[in-house]
Amino acid sequence: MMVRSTARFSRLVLVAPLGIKLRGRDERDIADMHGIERAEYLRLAWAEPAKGEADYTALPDTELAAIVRGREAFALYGWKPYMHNPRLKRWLHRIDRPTLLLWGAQDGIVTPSYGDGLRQEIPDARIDIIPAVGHFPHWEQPEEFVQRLSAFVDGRNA
Amino acid sequence: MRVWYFSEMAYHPAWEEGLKRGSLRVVLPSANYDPKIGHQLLNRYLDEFRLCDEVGLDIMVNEHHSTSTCLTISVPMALAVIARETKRARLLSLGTPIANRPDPVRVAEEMAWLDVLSGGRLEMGLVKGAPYEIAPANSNPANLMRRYWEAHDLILKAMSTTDGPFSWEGEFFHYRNVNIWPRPYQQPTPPVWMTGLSPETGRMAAERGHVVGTLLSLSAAGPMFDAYRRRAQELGWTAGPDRFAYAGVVGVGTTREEGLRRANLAADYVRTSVVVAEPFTNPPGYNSLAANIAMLKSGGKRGGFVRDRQGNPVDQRTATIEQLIESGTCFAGTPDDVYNQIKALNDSVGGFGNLLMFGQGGFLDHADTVANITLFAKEVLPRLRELNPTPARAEVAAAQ
Repeated sequence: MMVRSTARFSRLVLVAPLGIKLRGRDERDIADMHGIERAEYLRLAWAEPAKGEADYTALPDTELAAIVRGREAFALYGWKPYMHNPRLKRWLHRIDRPTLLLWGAQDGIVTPSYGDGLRQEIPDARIDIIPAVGHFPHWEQPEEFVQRLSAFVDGRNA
Repeated sequence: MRVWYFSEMAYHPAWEEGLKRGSLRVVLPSANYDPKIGHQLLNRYLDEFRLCDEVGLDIMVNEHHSTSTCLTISVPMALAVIARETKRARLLSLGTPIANRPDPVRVAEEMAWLDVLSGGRLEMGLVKGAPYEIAPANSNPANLMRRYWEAHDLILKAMSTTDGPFSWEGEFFHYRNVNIWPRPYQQPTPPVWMTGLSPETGRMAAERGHVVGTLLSLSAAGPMFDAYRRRAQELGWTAGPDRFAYAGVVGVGTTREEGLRRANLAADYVRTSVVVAEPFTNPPGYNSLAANIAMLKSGGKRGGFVRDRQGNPVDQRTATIEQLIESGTCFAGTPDDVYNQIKALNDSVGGFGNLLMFGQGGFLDHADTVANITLFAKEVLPRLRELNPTPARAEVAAAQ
């Protein structure tokens, strides 16, 4: 949205985003979440994989249906090209607002170096790497996450 | 009943390594394939297909990708060879995974070309494809069946249109000028086949009058064939046995022991085909919402094709030949045993007119395969022909 117009925004925060292609055509930027076993996915997505475990057998059908439909949507929109838009990178220069990239130090889905590549494409961006966090900082370290987010939004560390 | 012989043309020398790594498909590196041995095997398998023509069997070919279980990677390529080496056999493509093909018009062209080459001996399967075929094709599983039906409609229109070109602007496929040459030998199209495991597939096939095939498990075949027959009745026609096909492993011998030994070797196809790295077994959107909820509730357990007579999954990796006979997966023993087992299955599902015969699999060697084919053709085939005799083509057309 912000590559179209930033008129109605003052700042931008992105948390472990994907969506651009950075490296060579035969290098994987984004872990193939459809091609790895659940245990491997948890290892890549969480600093502490046990926190991501869920007992599906205990969930009601409505919640299971939402999970299944979520996976389908994930494939529908991000199958090919895989989880990125080949044209997005060249528009990122239009984001002329202070931008914070919040990243987990142990994110194996999109690594902090991917985050750094993204930072270089957005003119006024900086990256804040949270220790002991994987791909979901808001779940894995909520307090740390909120503190860094609110500091940036309030302009305390802009 | 017609009998269609097939072999997946496996590269079994890599199976041990694949089993060790937990996947014979998708992720098993091709360093495990020795092209010199592969050369011998492919030529041997094609010789066995040719033998079928000589002894009166029809022929089926399927395709898979990135796998040691099946080295037929293109049905049209294999059938092009077989068409030239055979004179009489009908040639069943079962089939082209059309939702994984980027260009349906190309599929129509290749099928029409094969039909012309073979003098109208082609039967054309348009299939969904197995879940682990999604990764090699990298086709989007979330809208697979919508793409399947659009490709299906486009292929049939491309083959049957003789006053083209026509244009096609669909959800997935776009062409300004569709006008295939050659057009098929059989007008308007060769007979069309589908495959599946569910009553829903049975109903959808009935709405189009296609032949529908299922495999390896009698507990899936019955409900699917019933659904087909009921839907046909609702639409005002009666579906005969020739609309139904069933695939099973066949091992026949002059003694029961010899037949069981051959079936047991060929059944390694059943035991290995499900050994796939877990992430590729259920791509998102491939299976229905209800099936996915059931899988999550059961803690992620997935069944293969094989079900016992009560419909419970049988562990294909470790199933004994006795279990596989019980489940209708294998027909094995003397010619009488094999005939009786096929007849019993036929009777229990309301009759089917096409047996798809896995007559070779895995470590069943050339001498055993030749003996299996020859003995079956001599002792079992004549009796099966009298069971649900195939109606003449004109009668089939009139019935629809």
